[in-house]
Amino acid sequence: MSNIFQLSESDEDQLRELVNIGVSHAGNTLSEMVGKRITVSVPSVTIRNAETRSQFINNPTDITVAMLLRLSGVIEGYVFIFFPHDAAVHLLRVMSGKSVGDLRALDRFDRSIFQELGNVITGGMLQGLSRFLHIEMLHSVPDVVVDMGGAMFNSLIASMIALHEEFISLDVSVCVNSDGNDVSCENGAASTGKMFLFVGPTAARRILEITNGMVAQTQP
Amino acid sequence: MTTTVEIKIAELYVGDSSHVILTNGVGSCIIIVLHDRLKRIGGMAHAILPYAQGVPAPAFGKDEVGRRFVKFANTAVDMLVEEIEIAGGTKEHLVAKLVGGAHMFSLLEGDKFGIGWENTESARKRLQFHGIVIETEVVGGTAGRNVRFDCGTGIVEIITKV
Repeated sequence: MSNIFQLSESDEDQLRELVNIGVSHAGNTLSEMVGKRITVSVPSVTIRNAETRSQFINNPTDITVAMLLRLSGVIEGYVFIFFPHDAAVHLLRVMSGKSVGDLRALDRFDRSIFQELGNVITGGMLQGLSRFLHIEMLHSVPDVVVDMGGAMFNSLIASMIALHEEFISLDVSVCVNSDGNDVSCENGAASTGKMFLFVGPTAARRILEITNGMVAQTQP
Repeated sequence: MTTTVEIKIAELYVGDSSHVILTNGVGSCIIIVLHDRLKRIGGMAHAILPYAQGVPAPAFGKDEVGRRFVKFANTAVDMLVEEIEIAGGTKEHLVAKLVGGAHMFSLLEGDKFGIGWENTESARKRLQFHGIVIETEVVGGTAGRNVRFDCGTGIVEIITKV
């Protein structure tokens, strides 16, 4: 199947750098909130459709905590954040002092903590992007779900494919417990949260119009 | 000896009594299972969207294991019937089981209906069109599921984790 998206190398660089600005902003906000060092990876840009149905996450049958937020304003799309068991338990302990052994035992209060976490990460990212792009970006209240990561991800992919034949996903790793200058997490992949920014063709074109305009202005 | 074949999102597989088919991470997708009890042939499809809506599905061949690409619930039923008949089964002997169609995120699908519900309805209508009886349904709800189907016995096992 031919790609609907025709992204040049420069387009991909621009999108990657743009989200990098946003997520570092979110990382700083989250670091202040939890009093721990938070590192975020440089995102990878992937064009996804029904045929590229590769596995997006490790251990898709494991129970994870996920937050879904809808983006509105000039750019429409979804932000999907999920934390595997160890990362979720660690975050909960840091933020509320509560130790939970099983994520299925999360009560309403615990869920509201993850809801707030989704607000902080996405709000921080959008604030960074809004300032840079000079556009209004809003997000919904996070929908917090505890279930198998693969089932949640597949549901989201189905909804995106229903809306757009193809869409861009910007994949970011969020390490909630990095140590010193080391960018790797204390417990490796188990402590690594993942954030995906999904946007359709219209939103991607709009972003690239703005960034291309910025690039053109800087050239003599 | 039993061979276990895993199908992922948007895949379909048909096997005989020596095969067990499993699929993980079923959310709003619909799992359609068809079984011919007499010939002990069965198939499973993991469809993601309800209808082809006039757009012809891209023609993909089978992969090295024998899995086929399938995107829509209505075409998944057609392809399952076709593949089972090719494998020696008879349409008149088929019974169906449906699993999935969950409503995992209220943000994605509104408060009442959503892709999960539409997927289930699409599969039901197409099965009715073919005259295939739905023996069992485990659909809707808000939980993700893993599904395992024994093509020989026709037994479907469903695992939820919440």
